[in-house]
Amino acid sequence: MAMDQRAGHLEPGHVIAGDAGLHLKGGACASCGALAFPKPAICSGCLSEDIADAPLAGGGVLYAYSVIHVGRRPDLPYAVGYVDLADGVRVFTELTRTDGLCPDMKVAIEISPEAEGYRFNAAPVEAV
Amino acid sequence: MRPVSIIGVGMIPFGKYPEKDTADLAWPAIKQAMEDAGTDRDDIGIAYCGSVYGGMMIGQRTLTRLGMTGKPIINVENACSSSSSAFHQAHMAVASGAYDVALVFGVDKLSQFGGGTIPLVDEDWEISQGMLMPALYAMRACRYMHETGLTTEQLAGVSVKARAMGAHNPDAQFQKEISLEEVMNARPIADPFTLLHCCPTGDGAAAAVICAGDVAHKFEAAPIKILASDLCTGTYLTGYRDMTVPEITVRGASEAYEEAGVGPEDIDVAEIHDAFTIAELLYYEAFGFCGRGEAIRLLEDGVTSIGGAKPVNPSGGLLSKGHPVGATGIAQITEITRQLRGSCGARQVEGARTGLAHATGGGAMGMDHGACSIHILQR
Ligand SMILES: [Zn+2]
Repeated sequence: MAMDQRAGHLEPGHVIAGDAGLHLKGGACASCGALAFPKPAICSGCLSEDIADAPLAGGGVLYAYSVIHVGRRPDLPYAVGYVDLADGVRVFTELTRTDGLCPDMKVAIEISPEAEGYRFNAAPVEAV
Repeated sequence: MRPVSIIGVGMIPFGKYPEKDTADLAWPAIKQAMEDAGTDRDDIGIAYCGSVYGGMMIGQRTLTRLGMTGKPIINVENACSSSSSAFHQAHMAVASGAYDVALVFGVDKLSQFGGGTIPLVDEDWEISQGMLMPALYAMRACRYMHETGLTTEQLAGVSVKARAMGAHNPDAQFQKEISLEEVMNARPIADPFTLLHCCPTGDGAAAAVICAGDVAHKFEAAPIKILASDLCTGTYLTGYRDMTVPEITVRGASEAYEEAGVGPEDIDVAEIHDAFTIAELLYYEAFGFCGRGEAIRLLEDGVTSIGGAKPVNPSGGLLSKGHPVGATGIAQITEITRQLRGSCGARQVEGARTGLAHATGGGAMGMDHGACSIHILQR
């Protein structure tokens, strides 16, 4: 299924490659300042279409997670979670491991080049 | 707006009918509801059909089988709230005075997908990233357990209770009790859920006939009054949200209580959207049946079982009765109607006068849920 092939994969348009490394590309509304990911074409808050590229924070805390044991992927089980980035955006992502996870632990967003885009997930940066 | 009543309900036993067309699942439920109401085909002024996977014109394909054509037929898709949203539309059509009698039904056939999680729309970014409905609810459970200390074993108790209720419902997909050990030891799906924390996929249909309050007595001696018919959409947020408080249901409940002029203390029986075990507990709190963190007490003290002060999901709920998504809302309304009539046999909530039905769902990024529809009924 398409969703399984795209999970954990970012199209080039979702990433900002800067001097400081790779960041998720959010959108910051030039009118009201609202930040969203993925970058929207229109601000849902004030309807401005003037949205600037915004590199999102590279880390945050794990809000909640689940280890998934079903589906068509060959690499079961795997873990997914919501990461609350330091700049106020919540991102759904895969986690780099299935054990030693706990809500509120610090995680880092990892983005690395792969065919036709980037691989991305979140890695715990502290022990439980 | 004028008062509206339910005068007939019907449903087929939920289960798996892979050999039947979706439309062939639906017509027996409609025929049953029409006979229950004592209405002829000509009495029906307008019909609504809720379905997610029934395909284009499922309402028309069903009603041609019953020779009920010519009048308006409207198809409604609103995920798990499809037929309860359709019911809301039918209620408006009658309450407004435009029609005296309306038919509303819901149908879906999930066996067409051969099992597994239900297909979602991967134009949604999170869904493209692998979001599944069990994962979404599992993260709610993860966070709620983290914040309140609820254990996996306590959570499993929700399924044990659901199956105990469903054991007395001849229309339930599962009619057998299960033990806590069976829930705990079932195969893992999305931690903390094993298979038995998840509602089954299946097929089903349910139907209701509603009527203007002042003409209802022509058809039915004891019509059930619709005190509130509420439909709302989740609030879209791009940032953090508290997944342990389902804001769409909290808001919907508040609107529905206000419309009905009743409060949580007045609800004698409720059918709520227990798609996964954690949902039942979150919704006890969202409906004000208890305070924050107290849901497990209601469950473990038997308050929400038959014989308790606040029986919830006497039909077995989605976990035991089944959840053919588009059929669920009307199936809940069917159960509450039968409870208020006192016709539920071994699962009857004695003396139930006021009941509530709640269907919510639809995974959409940035929202608690896409849709939520709540109905409060009274005899
Ligand atoms: Zn804006």
